[in-house]
Amino acid sequence: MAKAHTGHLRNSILFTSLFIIVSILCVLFPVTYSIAASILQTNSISYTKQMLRQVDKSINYYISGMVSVSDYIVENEDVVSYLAASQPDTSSNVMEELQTVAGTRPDFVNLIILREDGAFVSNHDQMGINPNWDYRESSWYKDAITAEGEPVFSSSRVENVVAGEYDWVISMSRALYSNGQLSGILLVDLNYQQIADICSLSNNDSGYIFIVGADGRLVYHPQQRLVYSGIKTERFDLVTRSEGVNAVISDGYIYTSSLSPASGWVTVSVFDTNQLVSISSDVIVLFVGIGLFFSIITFIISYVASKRLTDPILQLKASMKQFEKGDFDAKANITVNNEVAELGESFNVMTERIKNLVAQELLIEEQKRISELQALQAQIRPHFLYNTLESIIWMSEIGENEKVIEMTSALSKLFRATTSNANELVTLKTEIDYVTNYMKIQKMRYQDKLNFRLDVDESLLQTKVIKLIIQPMVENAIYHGIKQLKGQGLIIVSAHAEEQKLYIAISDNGVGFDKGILDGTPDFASKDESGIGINNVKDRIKLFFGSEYGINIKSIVQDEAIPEENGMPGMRTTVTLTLPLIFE
Amino acid sequence: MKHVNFISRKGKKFVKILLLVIMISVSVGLVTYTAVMKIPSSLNKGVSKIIVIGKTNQDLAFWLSLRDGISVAANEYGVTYEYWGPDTESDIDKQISLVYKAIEEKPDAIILAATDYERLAQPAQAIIDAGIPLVTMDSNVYANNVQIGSCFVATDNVQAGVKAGEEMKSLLPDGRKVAVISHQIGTTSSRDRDTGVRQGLGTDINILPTVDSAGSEDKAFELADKILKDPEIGGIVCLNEYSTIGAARAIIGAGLSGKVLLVGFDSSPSLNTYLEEGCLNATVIQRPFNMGYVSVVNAVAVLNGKKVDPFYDTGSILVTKGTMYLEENEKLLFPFT
Repeated sequence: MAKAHTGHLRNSILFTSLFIIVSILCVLFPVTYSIAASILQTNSISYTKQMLRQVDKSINYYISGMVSVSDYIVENEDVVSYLAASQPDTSSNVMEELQTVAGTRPDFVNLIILREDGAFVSNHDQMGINPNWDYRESSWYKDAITAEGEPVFSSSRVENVVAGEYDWVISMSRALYSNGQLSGILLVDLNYQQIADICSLSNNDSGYIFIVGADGRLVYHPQQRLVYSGIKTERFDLVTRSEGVNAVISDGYIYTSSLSPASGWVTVSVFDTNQLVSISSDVIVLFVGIGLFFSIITFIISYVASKRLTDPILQLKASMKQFEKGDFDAKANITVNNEVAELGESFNVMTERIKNLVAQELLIEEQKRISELQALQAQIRPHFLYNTLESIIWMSEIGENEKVIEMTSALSKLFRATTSNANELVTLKTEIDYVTNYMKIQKMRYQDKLNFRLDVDESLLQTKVIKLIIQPMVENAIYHGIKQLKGQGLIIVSAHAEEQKLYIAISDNGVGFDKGILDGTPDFASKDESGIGINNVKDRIKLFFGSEYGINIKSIVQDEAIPEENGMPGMRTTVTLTLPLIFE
Repeated sequence: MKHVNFISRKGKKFVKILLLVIMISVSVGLVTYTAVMKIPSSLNKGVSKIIVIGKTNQDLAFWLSLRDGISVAANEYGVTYEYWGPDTESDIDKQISLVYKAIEEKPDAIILAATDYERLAQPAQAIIDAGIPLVTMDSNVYANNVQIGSCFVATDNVQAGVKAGEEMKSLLPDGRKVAVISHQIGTTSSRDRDTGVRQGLGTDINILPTVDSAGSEDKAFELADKILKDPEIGGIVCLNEYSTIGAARAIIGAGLSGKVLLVGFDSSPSLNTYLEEGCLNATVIQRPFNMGYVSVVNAVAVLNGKKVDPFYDTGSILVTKGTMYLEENEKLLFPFT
């Protein structure tokens, strides 16, 4: 029932919670991500620099090793005399020296002294010089001559001096002088693999190290074959050849260059920050996962919570709908314990009250209808009508035309008053006029036997009373009191106000009530006409104004004597109507 | 009313559970999808196996360097590979049987260097028919003049031949004859280089009919020895590594080093020595490392459903004694660790 309207509140709760969590995540993630990324990048750069220094240190160890070896060799006496080509020939001693040095450094492939006159000595026992190649054409030779005794380092190259051997080496060459004359060249070859091993230790997914020689050629590159063959290109333009450690960033690559003064080599570390991003795409996946997880959790929690909230509301709503359709028995049975439950309680109290009010209203309407009917019935009671009409006939027969007119006019006014006024409330004056007209007719019929007196203060004539409440009482007094009386009958209708209440008393000196009937007040047990009349009036007053108003009957029973009042015969029965004092 | 309520409450619970299941499966699916999308290639890498069928399983410099390239690329792209090959390049039958054996192993891709472009056409077609991606290298296979593999990685052999021919032409004294020794007449590398050499020599030079060493150094030696008997011979062009070595041996043996010109193909330690000595005037070197490397890269690309160019030219360089120690040539001539 009413399914189409349900869930609006729940949906907004659900989507609000989801919106909140998603926006929190959406804000949190980029912030966290960028912070993490920048920390990662900073760490990476500092790690790279540290690694670079480490590599530099290792390489410098080899470089300085070569330099100190060359220093040792240059100053060696045997070498000096060998270079001077003086007798006796020290070449075997020099070879021994070279072999000793090579023995301490297994990474040295060749130690060769090439004399300008073509003689040579090396650490190898049986070594031939490659006859097909003039080493004087090689750059290591030319560079050494230019450097005039300072050690010069080559980049990676094939050693083609030694016959039959083509080793990949790093060469240190140094021009040797004897008596100020160029007398030879010292060539120290370092196993290239050594350098490659140092550098390859630093290679990982996100970066690598390469070395550029003083001549701009590659000393080492982890993918040098790919670089040489043109499959891979290296950004040599990002290499800086200056003191210290310098970083250049381009296209997400960080090129950190470190120049080694001893060798003139530049060690370059390449760090791929794109790789960093791809690492953090794992983080994105993780984050999306976490985000979804929390979204689901939030969804479930808010679903349950909103259900707890909206279910009673929907229940209440359903009850209201039911009530709206006219079912005044609709009750909201809310089991949860919160404000909505209180609301339900209030609703229940309200419906109860409304139900009672409606019932009361219905009852009043019913009573009114009955009283009107009864009043009408009373007026047009055939007996009353026949008697009245016969009285009129009789009076017209004896020619008392004035009385005929008077009686007919009173009868007419009586009928008009009964039927004309739709309002429940009328002025006391209207009610009194009605009673007066009624009494005019009755008085003509009963002649001197019936006396009627009004004792109403002028000021009270405009107060409001329920219609048709006095006449039934007067009629009662006539038919049950005066009619059976052997003597003069008197009916007094009086009214007075006291403490915002209006008291209307109808007194008679008739025969009085039976004791049984009196005891039965205020609800008359007997169902005869008078009983219905009094009960009707009493109920109408109570329904209209509340239980504190109603009818009070005082009657001295028939056997007892009536005490006299102010020298007049006292009244036996007094019916008092209590109403609220209402002016217009 | 109460009964109806009970049912609808049960129904709501069912909807709730259904919703939960849907949400969870959607999220799990999303995460998985993202993860898979991010590492599809690496996922494929893990399982991919490539069988490489070369022309020979001998430790020849060219093939060693090529296998080196394969190894580096396989490492880089996370694929496993096996290298197969007949003992000699002339053992075409053996290579055909290897192709069928490879098909049975159901690898993810096959890389083939065909010893004979006609006879390997049918086995190559069988690879394609088995649904296995085929990349050819060094020498191609054709069916009705249409390349069978999805990609051919090789030296532009006609171009390489032209370089050798032009070098020979520039060095050759007037009026002398030139001989051409091929290595395997049925293979495209041999045929195309022959075409290129003749193109490079031009029409003015008397070129003897091409003789085939059939994948044997000794055969090349014998052929060269026979050729050198002709006093008018001015130069020999050899179309691969060991035919060049065979011819060089014959020239040195005849004492004609430097007198009869020799332009060869490829490099090896002994060829480098011949180059230094001057017996070998020039050699056209290919990039076997690149060939192996690019073949694997392209095979992986085909596996990942990417489009690759039908031909990848790995290029060639003519090296003489004067240029052999230049940085770019040094690395190609000498095996690099």
